[in-house]
Amino acid sequence: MNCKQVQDLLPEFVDRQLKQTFLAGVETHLKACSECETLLTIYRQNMQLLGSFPEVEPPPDLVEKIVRRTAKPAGFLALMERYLRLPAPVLLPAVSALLILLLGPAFLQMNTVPSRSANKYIHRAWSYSTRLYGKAEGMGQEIATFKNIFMLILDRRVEKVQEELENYRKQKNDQQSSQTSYITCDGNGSHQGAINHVLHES
Amino acid sequence: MLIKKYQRRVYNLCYQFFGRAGRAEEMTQEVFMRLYGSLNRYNFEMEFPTWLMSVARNLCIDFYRHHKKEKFVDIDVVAALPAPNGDGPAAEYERSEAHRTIHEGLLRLSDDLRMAVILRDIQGYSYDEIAAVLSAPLGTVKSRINRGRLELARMLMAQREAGELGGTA
Ligand SMILES: [Zn+2]
Repeated sequence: MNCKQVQDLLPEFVDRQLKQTFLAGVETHLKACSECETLLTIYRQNMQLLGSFPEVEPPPDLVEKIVRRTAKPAGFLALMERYLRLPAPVLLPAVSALLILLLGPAFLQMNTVPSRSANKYIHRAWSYSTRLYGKAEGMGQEIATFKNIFMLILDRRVEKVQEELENYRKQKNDQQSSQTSYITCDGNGSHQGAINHVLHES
Repeated sequence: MLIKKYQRRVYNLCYQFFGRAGRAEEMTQEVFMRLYGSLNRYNFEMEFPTWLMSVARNLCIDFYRHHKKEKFVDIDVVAALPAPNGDGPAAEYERSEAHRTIHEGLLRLSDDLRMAVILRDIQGYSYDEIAAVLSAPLGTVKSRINRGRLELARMLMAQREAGELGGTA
């Protein structure tokens, strides 16, 4: 074995992963060749140095800077994080499902919100809620509307939400009490049951 | 809080990768901005810290590749946290000299090899975790780590020999 071959096998040699067929060759070479032996020593020293690499302290105001920069879009999630002590990615689908379920009926009259590109979580929450709502007739449209609003919020297009809410109020005034409440329209009570289900599950 | 819990880990990765305190601070901020902007793409099959590190890794490598002309080889010395087993100021000084030398060597490795070695040998992630962070097959990960370590050893050996001959390291 020449130096190049031996050196290329050093990482596996150090990790004791070297195939038996090469082991004797490498060991013999290392005993005879001071250059390869030195390289092996440095390699091992390096491993030790990297393993004890000192951790450094970030600037003391870094957290504050990040919080300031992320505060606007994540305010709600940060709040949930503080109270529930769970990372946002875990909370997001659960919270949105709950919101859609609980607040969905409040958005009854809204129906024209521009469709947005797919958002995995909202869709997941949406299908979850739809399933929970079960046979509650005509709820699909309302859930979809609420989903779109929630997506606008996540996309930080909060001004659009305001627009939608104004639309909602206008429509409500126009239609007055021509709509039936979904809380009571469901003959078999599956909607209330769905809400109870979520409240007790969570 | 998410930021408080993970900022040090992200900051250290960025500092190890760039060797610059200012750059590490900027990149850490970017990582958290990106994180909050992409929660909707969070992959549930990944542990959260692994996902966080993959965001950090992608941003570091992207930034590095877009600013390749900048020289990253001189490092900022950042006050290290005290070693777990404090063994006196002299030992501390020697330790920091040796670490500084190896850090300079790390910064001369190509971005992929450097990131693999940092994740494995400094940060202590498992091969499987690194494969997830890099979205690369296990074989690729192992070969990058091995090549990185070997290059690093060759580099420091050449440097040492040059120093012994009285040249400038
Ligand atoms: Zn040799």
